[in-house]
Amino acid sequence: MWFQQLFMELQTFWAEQGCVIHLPYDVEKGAGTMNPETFFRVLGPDPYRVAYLEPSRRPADGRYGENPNRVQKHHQLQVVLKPSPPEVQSLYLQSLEKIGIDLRGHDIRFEEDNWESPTLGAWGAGWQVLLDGLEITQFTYFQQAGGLELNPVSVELTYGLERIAMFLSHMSDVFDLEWNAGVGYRELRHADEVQFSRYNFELADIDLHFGWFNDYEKEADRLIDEGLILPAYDYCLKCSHTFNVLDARGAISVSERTRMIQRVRALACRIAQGYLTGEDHP
Amino acid sequence: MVAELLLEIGCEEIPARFLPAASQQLKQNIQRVLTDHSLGFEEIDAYSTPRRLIVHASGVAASQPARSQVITGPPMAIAFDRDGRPAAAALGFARKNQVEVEALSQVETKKGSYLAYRKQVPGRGAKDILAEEIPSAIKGLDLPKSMRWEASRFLFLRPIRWILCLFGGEAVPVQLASVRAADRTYGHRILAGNREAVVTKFADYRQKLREADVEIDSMKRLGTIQAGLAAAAQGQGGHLVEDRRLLQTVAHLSEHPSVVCGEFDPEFLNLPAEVLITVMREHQKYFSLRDRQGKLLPKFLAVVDSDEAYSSQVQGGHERVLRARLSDAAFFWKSDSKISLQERMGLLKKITYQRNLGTLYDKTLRIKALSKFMVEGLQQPELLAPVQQAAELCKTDLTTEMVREFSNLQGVMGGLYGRAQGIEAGVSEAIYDHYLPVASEDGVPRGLAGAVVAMADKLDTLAGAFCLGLAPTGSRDPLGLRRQAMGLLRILLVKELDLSCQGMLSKAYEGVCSFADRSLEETSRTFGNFLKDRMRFLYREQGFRYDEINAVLEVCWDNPVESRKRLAAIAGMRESADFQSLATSFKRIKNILLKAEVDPQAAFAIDPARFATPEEHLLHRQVVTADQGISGALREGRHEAALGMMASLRPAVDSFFDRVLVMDEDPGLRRNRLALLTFLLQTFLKVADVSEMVTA
Repeated sequence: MWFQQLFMELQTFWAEQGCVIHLPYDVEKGAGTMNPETFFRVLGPDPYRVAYLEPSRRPADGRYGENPNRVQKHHQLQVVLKPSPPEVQSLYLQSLEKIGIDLRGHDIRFEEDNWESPTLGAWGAGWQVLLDGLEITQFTYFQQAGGLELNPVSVELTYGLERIAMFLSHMSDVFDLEWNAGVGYRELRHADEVQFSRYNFELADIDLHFGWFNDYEKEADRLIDEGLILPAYDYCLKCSHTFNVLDARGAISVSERTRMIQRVRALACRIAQGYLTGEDHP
Repeated sequence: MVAELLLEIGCEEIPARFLPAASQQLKQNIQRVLTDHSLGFEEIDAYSTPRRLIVHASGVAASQPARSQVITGPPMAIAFDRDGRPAAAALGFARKNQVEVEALSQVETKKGSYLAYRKQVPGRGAKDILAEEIPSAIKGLDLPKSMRWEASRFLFLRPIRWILCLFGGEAVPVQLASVRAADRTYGHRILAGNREAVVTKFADYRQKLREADVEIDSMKRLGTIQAGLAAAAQGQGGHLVEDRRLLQTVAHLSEHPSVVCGEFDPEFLNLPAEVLITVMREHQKYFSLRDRQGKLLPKFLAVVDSDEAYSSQVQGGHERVLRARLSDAAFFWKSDSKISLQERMGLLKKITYQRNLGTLYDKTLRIKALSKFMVEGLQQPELLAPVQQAAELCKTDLTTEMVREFSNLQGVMGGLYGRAQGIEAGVSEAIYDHYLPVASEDGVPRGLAGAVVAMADKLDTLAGAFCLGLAPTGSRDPLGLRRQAMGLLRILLVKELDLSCQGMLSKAYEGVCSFADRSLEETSRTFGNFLKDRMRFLYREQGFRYDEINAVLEVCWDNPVESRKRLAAIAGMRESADFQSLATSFKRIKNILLKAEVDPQAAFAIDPARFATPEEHLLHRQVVTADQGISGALREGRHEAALGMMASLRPAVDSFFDRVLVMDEDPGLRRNRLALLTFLLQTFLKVADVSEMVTA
């Protein structure tokens, strides 16, 4: 199965379950959860179902395109079902069948893995789903976001697309994947991995980034005060990514690290509160 | 009439680490429901799988026993008239209870005779009680990490999706969260496609689940896994690297376990076995195999929740995942090796050891100073160089990628990197071992250098915590201080190191005093009490009796090697008649001194010229001899001899108490005799406070 077919099939499956098929959000982020379609939608009482593809940047995971399993940017298919339906596990297993996995012939396990995002003030209880020992999905019942208790509880399914694709095509090198019939993953992604690894580990200007972090934080703060919650969230995301680059660059000491995470978290919590008290949110 | 109770709570996968405790608790809670409501039963058992918590009770009474209740009415005196006919009071009471007066009887109370009605109250049916009480029995589980999943806001380990509750073959209408109990269960999610099955009784339930690829008994699953591992190991011509904890875990991770054997590229065997085993265990929950010579084989055993029939299909996936994990480890090993341990020392300055206790670099310097002090105390100057180097480098592996990924390899990695970097074997080994013993079944560091660094590390941790007032309280010990102290004691005892704990603590306090908010005296006192408690625990574990332990620790705890020897000597001698009698006399002496308000610790003056009886002279002469003898014997480590000298005083002590009145009217005589007893007491106390001993 081609890489593009994989996420198209999953999108089709979840569209049939009543999900809005949304699009990636155009600000750098470490995980699909940070897309406003998840962060904001899980707050408050209104039911919602959404699925979208999300490129996720993890600067510290870069390996200059040399490691067959690790990349600084990978792709997730994110599904949020609010409220969580009682049959969610079986829906999820059906989605695996949809992409051609013969469940009976494989070892599928739900092993405890409680997801937590300190920067978003969010956590949930759930599992990593293992397919023959390979973690293919993070399955989470959201308990808190932006420091707020969630009611109703949303369930989030995050498919690791590269891993699933490698599993389906019995490949052990991500760069051997085929994006479609004629174009390979290597052709589309390799140069990006090499250049961004060099940038994140060696060349990112530390002073500039620290400056940006402060500026983004200031801007987010100001916008929260103005009641412009959605733009404020963009700057909160930028803080988070800037922090990740500095972290990969080895520029953050342990105690500084904790402080910076707390600063981003404080923004996220204020934004979540602002979202719920504001009137004109989607 | 008896019937069978079967309860199954069907869940989404419950975390393996919570499963055993949750299962046991559920059983206890159901058992309590039965006993609290006088519902007898024959046996009650708990079972569990990742998707179910199960309780089965057999021979449960179908209803509570009927009981008779006595309702007291009016006094007999006014209940009947002179002719013995029922008066208004009796008629009213009978009417109220809806019976004839003839059905009433009489009770005798302290206040006199009363009319009474002995009412037969039928017991309630068990099914009603169960329907009412089971929900609270489930809500009453003490669950460590619960979650919500639905509008009911019910809290449980993981979402509850069905409940099976049968009593006497009928469904009990239990309602919990949004689930209503019924008479059906569901098979293995994948292998049996979650097949629904209607159940009538436990045997039927068990049979149907077996057919649907679920084994509910975790011990049975564990047995299956063990057999599978053994067979696979034999098939590969290897020996299984035993791992009890991992075995327990995997038994709680599957409903239908089977063992799959896979291989990895032998090139990875260039990595240390410790790393390979850890990667396989921590990341993938795989077992490792060794060959006959003990060398690791490029193989692994995975326990999967699938059928043997599919093992060849499953194997390839597991192999690819392990390959990726091992590649990561190889990457860590390579990149960690680029920076020597020596160079890493500087990096420790950036890592906080603990709030208010400086950086890891500060801790390193403290360990170095403390271990130097210990080496001097042990008078083994040749140890100094290796100990100092090991102390400097022991924390540097905390800056490596490998330890960041696998924290349980701390120390081990330092030792392995050290060896690879050409650091002297004794030093690498000391670094490798210095966290030992971690668990109670662990050994202590192999060499003396490792032992010294390990003790210095632990003492620094303890001194740091105690000087900030962070001693453990009750069951709370977040810093693991009890384990640290146990480790310290076990090293001292196993290696027979003659060192003073108070002395080492004072030295350790010097290191942390700039952070301290408690004085040395207070730190030393709380630490001393804490350490004595740990020693009590340790010696009890080793089979000593608590009175022996108290007798010794009362006078000698600072040097565990010494206290342990005395303990052994006392345990060996306690049954002898002399010793028993001496213990009794000792208590008597203590009481006499207490009544006479003499401080047993104080200096005393004996004037032999003022002795009035031969018994006083005799006892005095013998105590003088014994006192010197005991001091000498203790110095030379002859503990039995010291105790023997104590016991040999028995005839003199006995005849003294037989013939001499201590509290004589003459104050001079009295003072002198009290002084003699004080001397005797202090002589005894050099060995142990035998008044603590429980005598036959």
